[in-house]
Amino acid sequence: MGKYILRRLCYVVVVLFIISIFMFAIFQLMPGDPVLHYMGQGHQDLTPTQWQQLYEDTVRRMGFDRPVHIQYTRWLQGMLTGNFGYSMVHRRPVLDVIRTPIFWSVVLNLASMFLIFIVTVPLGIISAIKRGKTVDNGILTFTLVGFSIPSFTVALIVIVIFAVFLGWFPITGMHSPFLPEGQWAQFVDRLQYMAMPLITLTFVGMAAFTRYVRAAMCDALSEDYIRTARSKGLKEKVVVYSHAFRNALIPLITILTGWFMGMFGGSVVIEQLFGWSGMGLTMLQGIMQMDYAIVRAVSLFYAFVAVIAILLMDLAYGLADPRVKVSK
Amino acid sequence: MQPKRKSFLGTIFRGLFFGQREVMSMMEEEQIQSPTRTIARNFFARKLTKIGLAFFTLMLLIVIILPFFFPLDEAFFDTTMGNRRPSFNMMRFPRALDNGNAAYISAGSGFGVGVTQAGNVHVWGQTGLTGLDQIPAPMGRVIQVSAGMDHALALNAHGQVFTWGNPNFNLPNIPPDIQGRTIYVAAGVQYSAALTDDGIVHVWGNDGVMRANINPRLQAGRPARHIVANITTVMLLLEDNTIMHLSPRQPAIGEFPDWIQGQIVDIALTDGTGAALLMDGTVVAWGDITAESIHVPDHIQGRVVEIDGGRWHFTAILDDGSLYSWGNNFFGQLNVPTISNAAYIFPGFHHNYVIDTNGNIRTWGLNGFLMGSDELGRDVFVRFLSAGRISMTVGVIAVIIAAFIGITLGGISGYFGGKIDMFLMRFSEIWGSIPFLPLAILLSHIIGRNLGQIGRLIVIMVVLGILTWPALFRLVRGQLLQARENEYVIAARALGVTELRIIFKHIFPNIISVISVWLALNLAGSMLTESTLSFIGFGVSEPTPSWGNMLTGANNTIVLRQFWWRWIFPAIALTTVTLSINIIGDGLREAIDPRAQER
Repeated sequence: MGKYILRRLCYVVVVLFIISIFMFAIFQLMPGDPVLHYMGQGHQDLTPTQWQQLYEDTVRRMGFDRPVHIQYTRWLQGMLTGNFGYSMVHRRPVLDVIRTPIFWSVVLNLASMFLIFIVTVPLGIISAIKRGKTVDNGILTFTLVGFSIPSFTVALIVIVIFAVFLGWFPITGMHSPFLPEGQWAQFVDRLQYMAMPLITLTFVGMAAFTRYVRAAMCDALSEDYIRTARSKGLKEKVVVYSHAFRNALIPLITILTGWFMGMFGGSVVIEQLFGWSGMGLTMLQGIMQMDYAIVRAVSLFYAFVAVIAILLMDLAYGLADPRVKVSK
Repeated sequence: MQPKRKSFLGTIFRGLFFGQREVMSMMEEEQIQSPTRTIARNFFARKLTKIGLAFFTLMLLIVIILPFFFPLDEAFFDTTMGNRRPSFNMMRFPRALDNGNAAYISAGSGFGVGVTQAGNVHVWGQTGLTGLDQIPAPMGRVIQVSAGMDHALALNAHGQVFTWGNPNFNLPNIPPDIQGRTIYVAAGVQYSAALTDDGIVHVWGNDGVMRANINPRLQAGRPARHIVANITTVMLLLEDNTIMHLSPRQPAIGEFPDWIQGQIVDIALTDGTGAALLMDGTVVAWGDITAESIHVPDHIQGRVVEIDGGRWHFTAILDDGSLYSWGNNFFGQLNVPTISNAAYIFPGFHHNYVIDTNGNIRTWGLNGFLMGSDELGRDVFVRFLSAGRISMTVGVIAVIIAAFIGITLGGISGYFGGKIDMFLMRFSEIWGSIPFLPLAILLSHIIGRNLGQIGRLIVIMVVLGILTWPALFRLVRGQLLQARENEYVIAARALGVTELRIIFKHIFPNIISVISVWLALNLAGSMLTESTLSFIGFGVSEPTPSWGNMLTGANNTIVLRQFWWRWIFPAIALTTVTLSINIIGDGLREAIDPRAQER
C-alpha cells in the first residue's frame, strides 16, 4: 500500500510538472506586451529616452530578457516557495489577493455539496428501490432535465423566483454594504447573499449525483449478501439502509471527493452571475483586467485541485474497496 | 413461418408513426433481427425517445430552414425600437378612426396617435412603457398630433400644445410663450419642436441633443411655414419656398443643392437624407450617400404631389392618387398597397398610414415583433433563429472534432497497445484532469481575441473539440481492447484477415453504437458549454447571436421581469433542445445496453 501511494505521488508530481509547463506556455501566448503591463500607468510625460530606459529596466527587473527556460525555472521556483507573483491591478502579492476568494469558493462549494448530499441520497435510494416504477421514472426524467438546463438558466430562474417575485434575497454581492452589528446578524446577512448561488449550485449538481446514488444502490442491491439478508428474514428497511446503503456509500464518497474538486471549475459562471467573489470571478476579472499573474495562479490552483482529486479518488477506492487491487 | 423481411428504414418510420405493433416471441426476434435493427426497435419502443427525436428534428429543421426566410443582418440595430414586447399591434388603429373619422395621424416608434374629425385623440400600439396611453384631458378640439420615439404632442384649435409620454429630458416643459399661437408641432427623439404663427420654430427637450444638433437661432427671424423633424435634427420650409437646416452637426443633411431653393413646396427627412418636392412635381434627395432613400426612382419624377419620410424611407403620393415608397425595406416599409385615391400620407419611423379620399385608413410597414425586440431594437425572433443555427453548428462541429481525435487516438491506443497505449492513456488522463471551463475560457480568450467573427467561431469549436475527446478516447480504447478478445475477432484472425480489416470491418461496426451514444450526449454537453461560454462573454460574441449570448445581461430585475421576452425564448429553446438530445442519447443507450433495460 505504501509503495502504491508513493508511486501515485510521484505520478502526481510529474503531472503537475507537465501542467505547469503547459500553463507557462499558454501565458507566453497571452495577448499584449507584459512589459507595458508591469510598467504600470502614468508615464505619458516621459521623454522617449526616459521611457525607453524605464522599459528596459522593467524588462531586466522582471527577467524578460532571459531565455524562456530560465524564465520558466524562475517562475516554477517562485511557485514552489510560495511566491505566486505580484498583481499589478491590486498592487499586492497574488497570494494575498486570492486567499479570500479561495476561502469563499470553498465555503460555497462545500455548503452546496452538503445540500446535494442530503437531498440526493434519499432520492437515489427511493429510485433504486422502486426500480422501473413510476417514481423511478419520474426521478430519472427529473435528472435528465437537470442535466439539460444550463447552469445560468437555472440561476436566472432562481433569481426570478427568489429575488424578483418573492424578494427574499439580494441578487448580487457578498454582503450588505453596511454590515449589521453582531456576529449572528452578520452571519445571517452573509447567508442571505449566499442563498441564491447556493440554491443554483445545488440544483445544478443534483441531477448527476442522484444518478450516482441510484447506480451505486442498484449495484449494491443486486449483490449476493442482500439476497442472503433477505432470506434471513430481515426487514426490508434494515436490508436497504443497513446492508445496501452502507456498501453503496463507499463508491459514493469516492465519487463525491473527485466531484467536489471538479465543482470549482463549474462554479465560475455562477460566481460571475451572482457577483460571488470566489476563485472563478477572480479569474474572470483577472482575464478582463489582463492581470495575468492572478489568472496564472488561479489556473494552476484549479489544475492542482483536480490532480489531487484524482489521487484522492484512487486512494479512496483502494482503501474502501479491498477488491480493487491497488498494490499491483 | 418465416415473417416478411422488413427494411431497416421502414422499421424506423413505422416505429416513428405507428409504434410497435407486432409482438414476437424471443426466438423469432433472435433469428430475424440484426443487432442494429434490435437497437432501432428498442429505441422506438419508448414513447419519450420518440417525442425527443421528433422535437429535436423539428427544432433542427426550424433553425436550418427558417433563417433563409428571416435573414439576419448582424450590423442592423435601431435603438428607437428597443425593448418592444412581442405583439403585432403597432399599426392596429382603433375603429373610432376608421370610416372617414380620421383627421390626422402620426406614426411614432411602435405606436400611433390619431385625431378624429371631432378632435378626439386616440393612441394605439405599444404605449405602456412610458405612459403614452395617458392622454392629457381635456385638450379641447385637437387638430394635429405628432408622435416621437416615446412621447407625443397634440395641438388644438386654439393653438395650445399638449404633450405626454416620456416625462424625462425636460419634455413636459412646453415653453409658455408658444401656447395659444402655435400652428404646427413635430416630435423627434427626446425633443419637441413647434412652429408659431409668426413663423418661428421653438425647440425643447433633451439639452444634449438640442445643443449638439438643433439651433433655432440659425433661423434668424426668417418666417417658416412648415417644419420636419427626424431623430436628430429639424429642417424648415420657409415662406419664400427655400429650406433651412437647423443643425450645424449634421452636415450631410445640410448639403442640399442650391438650385432647388425657391421652388420647394414640400420637404421630408429620413435619418440620413433629406428630400424636397419641387413645384414641377420632381423630387430631389440629398444626404448620406449610403442610404437607399437617396435614390429617387425616375418614373415618379414629375408626378409627385406630397412627400413625407420615416427613418429609412420616403413615401409619396403621385398625381394619380397612387402611392410610392423608396428607401430601405427592413420591415416592409416599401410594400405599399395599390390604391388610386390616396389623400393624406403619414409615414413615421417604420410605419406608414394613408387616408384615402373615402376616409379609409390603410397601413403598411412594421406591425410588431413575434418575440419582441432587444435593447438595441433587434428582432429577437430573427436573432433566435440564427442563434439556434450557430449554437447547433458549433455543437455539431465540436463533437465531430472531438470524435475524430477520440476515435483516432483510441483506435491507435487499442490497436498498438504497449508503450503508445501507455503514453496516450497518461496523456488523456492529464489532459482530462485540467478543469474544463476555466481552460476553455482561457483558450478562447488567448486565441480568439484578435480574430474576426468567423475566426472566433472556429476557435470555440476547436476548443470544445480538443477539450472533450479524452472521455471518448477511453471509451473507444476500452471497447477495442474488449472486442479484441471476442470469439469473432479470434475467428477472423485465424482466417488470416488483416488487423486493419479486423478493426474496421469487424470490430468497428460493433462499437459504433456505443460511440453514437457518446456523440449524442456530448452534443448536448458541447451546446451547453458553448452557451455558457457565450453567456459570460468568452464564446460566440456580439453581434453574432447564440442562444447563450442572447441571455447575457439578463441577470437584473428589470430585464428579468419587464423585458422577459429577451431571455425566456432562448433559455427555453436551449433547455428543450439539450433535453431532447439527452433523451435521444439516453434512449439509445438503453436500446443498446440490455442490462440498462432490466433496470
